[in-house]
Amino acid sequence: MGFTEERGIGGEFLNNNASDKRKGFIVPRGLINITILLVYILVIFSPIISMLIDTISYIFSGKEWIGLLVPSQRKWGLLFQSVVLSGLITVFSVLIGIIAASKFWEYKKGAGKLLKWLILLLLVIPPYIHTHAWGLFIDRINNVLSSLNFGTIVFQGFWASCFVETIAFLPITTGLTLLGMAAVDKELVDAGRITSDDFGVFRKIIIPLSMRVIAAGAGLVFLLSLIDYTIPSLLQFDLYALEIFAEFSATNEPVRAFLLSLPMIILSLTVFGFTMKGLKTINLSNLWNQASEGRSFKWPFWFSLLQKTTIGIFIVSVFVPIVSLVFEAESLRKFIDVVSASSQEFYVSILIAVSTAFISIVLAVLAVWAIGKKGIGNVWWVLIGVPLAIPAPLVGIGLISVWNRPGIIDIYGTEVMPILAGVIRFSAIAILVVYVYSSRISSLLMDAGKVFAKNRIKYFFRIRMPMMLPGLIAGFFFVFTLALGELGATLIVAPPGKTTLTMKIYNYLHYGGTETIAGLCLAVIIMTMVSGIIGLLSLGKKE
Amino acid sequence: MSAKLTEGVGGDTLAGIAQRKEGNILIEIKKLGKKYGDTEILNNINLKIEKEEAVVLFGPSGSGKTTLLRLIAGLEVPDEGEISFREKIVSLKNWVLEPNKRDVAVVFQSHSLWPHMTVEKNILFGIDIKDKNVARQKAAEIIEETGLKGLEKRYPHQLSGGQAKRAAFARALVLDKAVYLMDEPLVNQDDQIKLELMEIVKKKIAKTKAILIYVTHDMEEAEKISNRIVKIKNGKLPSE
Repeated sequence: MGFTEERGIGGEFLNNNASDKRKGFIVPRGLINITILLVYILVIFSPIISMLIDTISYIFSGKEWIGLLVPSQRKWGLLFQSVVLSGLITVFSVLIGIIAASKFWEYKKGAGKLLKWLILLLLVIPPYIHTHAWGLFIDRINNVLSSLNFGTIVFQGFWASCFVETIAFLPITTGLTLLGMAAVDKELVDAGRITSDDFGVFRKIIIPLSMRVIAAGAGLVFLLSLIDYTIPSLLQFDLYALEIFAEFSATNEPVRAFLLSLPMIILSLTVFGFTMKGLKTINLSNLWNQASEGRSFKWPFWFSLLQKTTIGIFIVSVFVPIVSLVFEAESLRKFIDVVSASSQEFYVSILIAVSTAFISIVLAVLAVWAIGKKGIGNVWWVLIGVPLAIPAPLVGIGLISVWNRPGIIDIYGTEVMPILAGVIRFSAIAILVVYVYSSRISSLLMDAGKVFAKNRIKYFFRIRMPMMLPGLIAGFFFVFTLALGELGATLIVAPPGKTTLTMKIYNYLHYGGTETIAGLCLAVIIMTMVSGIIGLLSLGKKE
Repeated sequence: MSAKLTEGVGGDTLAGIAQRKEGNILIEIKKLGKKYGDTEILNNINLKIEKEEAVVLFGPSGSGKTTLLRLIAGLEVPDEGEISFREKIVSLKNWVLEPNKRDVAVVFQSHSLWPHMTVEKNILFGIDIKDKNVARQKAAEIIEETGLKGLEKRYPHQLSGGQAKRAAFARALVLDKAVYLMDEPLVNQDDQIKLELMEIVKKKIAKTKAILIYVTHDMEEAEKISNRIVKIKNGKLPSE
């Protein structure tokens, strides 16, 4: 006998030597995890690492750097303006979001349930389209006011930016609040209703228990508005994020832009650290399942009025942009002409968005596998969160810093650059979606797969992947939607002669061509709506 | 016919619907029906519960006993029939008086303690006394009685299962209500805790002369609670 036999649990015979032989083919999980971690860091953080290295050599070369790192009085002013603007946008969108969510939460069926889709419709309209569409709407109002010899509304500057960004980011706070509320155990709500009126239960139980997710939404909106320069630039309001873009445009030196952006990155990361953990607790499928049975809530009159007002804001926010654009596009014939004339931009946009989504999903699958059952630890949490806090122009500038050097694979000046920019900016979203989806799959089902599958590959492709498929589809379409609307980084790294739809719209917004803009905006809305809705439907699928 | 009705959810005007009931009945359920979608949960339930009475709703899982309890609590809206408290209608088809206006306290199957509040705050939540010192005194008494002394400042996640269950009982029993509703409150608890908590409940009921409606699927437990065991099966009350 060349091997020993032992009776195992249940009476099976366990061949120790055979077991050892099988172990010999298994690569240690820790090694795979570290490899995945390194690949992720290399893909996502290479621009930052490259800029850090360049910055160190810049500092040691004796060039002036403190002046860039420590903002001048003017730049402090810009940073202050940016923080105030983002703060106000956050406050408004959180307040409106909470009130609106309290109403959406109650919609269980029929027209009310359909109203919930308004959140989704609004979510997929890119912010610059809101800017343009509201501009058109205000123009029409101004025409009426002028004809009546009244003064006109100036749709520019701080308050216009605040208004448009609040509208654009409202679905984030509303959607997350809704998910937070949906996650509150129904019995905890019932227990409160025994001794308190419904508004008291909402105030003292539902909101505090949803607070982590609401705070995550607030943090996300603060970050997104802080690092976005596209809307304020269109509305002629100067911000710190725009300054980074301007600095790079003027000097073409990534290090200077990086040093300049550090105060903002530190601020963003601080906000991220305080608020983002709530995202881990979200069950996205609750968006459809939160309607509780039982007696509906009875609200005080004044709160009910506020709820109706916020629902009105949602309706207006969806219909004003769409109706304004439809009017501006003039006719279906013109719309088709505009779309036909931009076939090249459509091709480039879709190519970039599909590639970005695909790479992001591959990264997400690997990352979720590495994260494993133990949950998102601090290291992964930082790795996922930091890219969300980096201003879009800096991602583009960082990519140039990495790839615009001799002796490196020649991807500078190709479509790979905007694809990489999209992956860096949005793969975190794909990871979160895939992680959240996979964590709701029963681990018992996975364990059963491990027991019955003949080998790991079969387990991975026949059990794990099919069960995760809705999450992967959702992640793919979310990233596709975001990549389709990406502008901040693409504007910097787009290859010569290649223009995305968003770039074309952004350029036309500065130089005119309203029918074309309206037609293209409508096309983008249709595409993002379709992909966003596919993503959300996938996520809503039951196991 | 002078029953006074408070406006309930739905805002229906109920003047004229109210009916004066006679005798010693505190809760009266008439022809009560409830569906979830197309599934019938309760059908034609009729039940009278007198003052100071303890009633056990006994039946297998899915028989509708929890739904009946939730209807009595005002957490669900009936599809048919009515419920009256003290000769006043509190639930009708598509209308209910809010639970906080019904003079009921509930112990749920899971402890259902609010995780963001300490044990003491959970208990204080429902006490409707403006003087905070008096409210705290009342909370302290029930904390002592339920063996939670020293755990007042702990959050639910810092309690053992038995301690959390004690806190859930304390939160309900601290209130002086006319009706105590308990939905399988001692399921999965060890015998020692069961005995202790049953004693506390009995004492409270005797002291306040309240009604106890106790849901269970455990006959031994049912018999310890009351002689009046109402059997419920497939959403109906076949016998009592």
